[in-house]
Amino acid sequence: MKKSLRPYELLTLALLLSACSITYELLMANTLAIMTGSYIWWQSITIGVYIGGLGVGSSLAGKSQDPLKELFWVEIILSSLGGLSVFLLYLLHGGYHSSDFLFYIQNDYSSPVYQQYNLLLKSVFIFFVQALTFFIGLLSGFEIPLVMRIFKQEKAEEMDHKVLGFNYIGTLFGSVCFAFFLIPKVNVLAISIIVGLVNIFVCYYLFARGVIKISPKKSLALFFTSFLLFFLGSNINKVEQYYLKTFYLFKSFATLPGTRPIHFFQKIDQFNPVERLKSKYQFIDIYQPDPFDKSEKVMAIDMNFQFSSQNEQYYHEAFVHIPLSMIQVNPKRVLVLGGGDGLLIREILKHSEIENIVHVELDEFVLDVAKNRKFFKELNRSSLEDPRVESIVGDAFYFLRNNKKKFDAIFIDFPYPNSYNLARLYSIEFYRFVFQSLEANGFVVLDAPIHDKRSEIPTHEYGQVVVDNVFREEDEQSNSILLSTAYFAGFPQLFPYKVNHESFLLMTKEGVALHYDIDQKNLSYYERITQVDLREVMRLKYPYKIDPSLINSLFRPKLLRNSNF
Amino acid sequence: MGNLRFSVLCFFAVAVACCSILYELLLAQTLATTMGNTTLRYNITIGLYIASMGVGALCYDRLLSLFSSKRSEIELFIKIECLLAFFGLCAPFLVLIFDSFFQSFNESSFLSYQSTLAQSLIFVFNHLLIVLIGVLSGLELPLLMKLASNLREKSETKILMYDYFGTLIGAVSFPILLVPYIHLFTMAAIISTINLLVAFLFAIFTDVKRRDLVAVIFFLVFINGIYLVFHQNVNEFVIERFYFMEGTF
Repeated sequence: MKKSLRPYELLTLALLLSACSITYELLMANTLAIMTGSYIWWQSITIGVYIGGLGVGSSLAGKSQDPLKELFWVEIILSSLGGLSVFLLYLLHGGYHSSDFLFYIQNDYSSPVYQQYNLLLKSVFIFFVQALTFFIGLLSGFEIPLVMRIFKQEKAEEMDHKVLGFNYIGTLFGSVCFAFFLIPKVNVLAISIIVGLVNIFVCYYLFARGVIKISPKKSLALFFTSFLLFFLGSNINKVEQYYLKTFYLFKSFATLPGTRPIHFFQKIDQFNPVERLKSKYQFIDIYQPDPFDKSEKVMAIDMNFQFSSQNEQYYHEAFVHIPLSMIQVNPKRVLVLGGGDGLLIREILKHSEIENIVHVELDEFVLDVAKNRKFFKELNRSSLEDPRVESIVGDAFYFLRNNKKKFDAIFIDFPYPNSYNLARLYSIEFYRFVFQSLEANGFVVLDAPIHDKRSEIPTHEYGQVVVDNVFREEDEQSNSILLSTAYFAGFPQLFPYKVNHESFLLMTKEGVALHYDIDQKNLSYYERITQVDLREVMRLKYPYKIDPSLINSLFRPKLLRNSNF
Repeated sequence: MGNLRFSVLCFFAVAVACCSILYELLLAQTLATTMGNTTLRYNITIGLYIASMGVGALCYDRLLSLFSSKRSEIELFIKIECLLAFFGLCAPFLVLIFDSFFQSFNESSFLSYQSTLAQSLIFVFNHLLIVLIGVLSGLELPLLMKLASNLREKSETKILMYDYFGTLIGAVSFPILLVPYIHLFTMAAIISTINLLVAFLFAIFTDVKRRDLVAVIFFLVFINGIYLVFHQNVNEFVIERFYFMEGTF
């Protein structure tokens, strides 16, 4: 009569299903975190909603009489929802972004109407995303109790804890696979489809083993879901390009005179593709923000704007030459942390008195790209190949902790701290290690988000719109966290400055003189920055407090405010 | 089983699951301070934690006989909670202390911090801590399921659900409510104390006769209490001495 599954088959099933289950969760959490730029909140809330779904699912699963049939249907729905999960995320996020921007350009950015609309859009986005996560969790929650009930039906002895054990091992297997094999090497869309296919495979297996009745309804569902996944699978690149183009290019397109936003979707195929490079640690996107100007290219890391080929000189010149002209001592040994694109080093190399530059970069891929790709080589003028430069691949924190030598100047070019991983690079422990690696008359300059009281004019530079311009209490708090941490790490002299919307922090040890007549200095280093820009440096006010309770420590992290999502 | 009611058991399930995940997340965050690369540390810690729970669940029967002569689930539960509370409290400190032990060696010595030997020992030690807490946590759920089935028929999946909720509460509150406001070491003591409180309540509800077990609970609570009173000074001392190696450079 009806065949039944052997225990080892059921246990393998438990293992496989839990591996798929954890992969969906990790995928959702990871993709969402990158999309919105706020790692901690999204990772935890997604885990929470997912586990909540698991809990509800497991409590609902105890009732059925035919657990195998129920398992079949659970897997069908799960493979479609899960397989489509990343696609749906792209759709939701792309839609959110374009609608938000459309409403923005019709209204003033600071108007309460826009703020309300933005809040509504955000809530809708969050609701649908978390609903998706919840349902995937819910369906996954059915799996383990169903397997346990199948065992009970076969009258297998105390198998509950064996099922649990295999469930745990499957979860481990899934997370290891995800972290070490899938994420570094495979496109995220592809990962969701692959896992969806594994779920569908389980259904085919149940059919093939003859343990469930093959009905027309089931066959149709199976066929339809498989078709859906294969169709999506063959269009991965297209879908990804549509999403990336919408995210990066919609804004600059919609603000061009004489165009209507709807034309964007009609012309989307005509734009130059967004080039996406993937390293072990991050996504690097290179795109052309203006559809009609081929010269300008922008690089983004994990969807965060890094630099534009047309404007990056303002940033890098301000980073390097302003501190060097404010502090009279000629540095010989310089340390650069981060800045794997080589642009910072290009500016540093202009100073002939510098004999040695030690450069620490976490991502070997970025170094590789910066040394070998034409776009980068032209921009950084092969700075990384210079004999004075010594590149080290590694974690900056670890490097500094074990470093015994001292440097005359330290340049720190890190991404803004939106995750605990990055926040440790702005911690008091890190700055203490920096202090220990700095000569007595040396300086440290870092790129950090410091908010000032001048109201910023919203611009459409770099293909981005500066929305945030009203100085709020959180801004003072954020400034205070950064500056208090630096102060208590041992740096008594703190000089924040800003050029062209880019803010920096210059700091020195006790007794180092700062020379403020920068605009009278030799301007030969500045190819872009003007006298006017330099005069601005002294003019701005950055409200902050020095308070020990605001220290960002590894053991009690405090994040700086980052306006992204 | 004394006065233990099913709903109370569910509450305990939530609490111990919450504490277990919190111990591991705390350990992951502490390892990130000495080994770097936070994301990798979290992934490895969660992965190893889940695997060790699997080992704990699979070896449930064998480990049961190892821990207690009579198959008394109640006493075993209390013993496991005490062990967890103890190791959960000590783990972050031990990580720092063990790491600093190698910092004190000369660069040329075979045990210098940078040597493969030292790095391997540190690696193994840190991960053993994760596995230890994981295996102990892995024993909790089958135990709870057994206790649940003694109280009420076919209630395993209900307990599983409450276990999930406990993990959920822990996983969400850790980065949002706990880390930004409480020092990592202090957090370890707080969680350990809550864990011990649960063990104590459990002992009361089940009318446990073993006075020595209750005494152990009190003793551990006492240690936690002493630490919490002086927590700021202790934290500062430990970090200065074992992380920055002040006084030894």
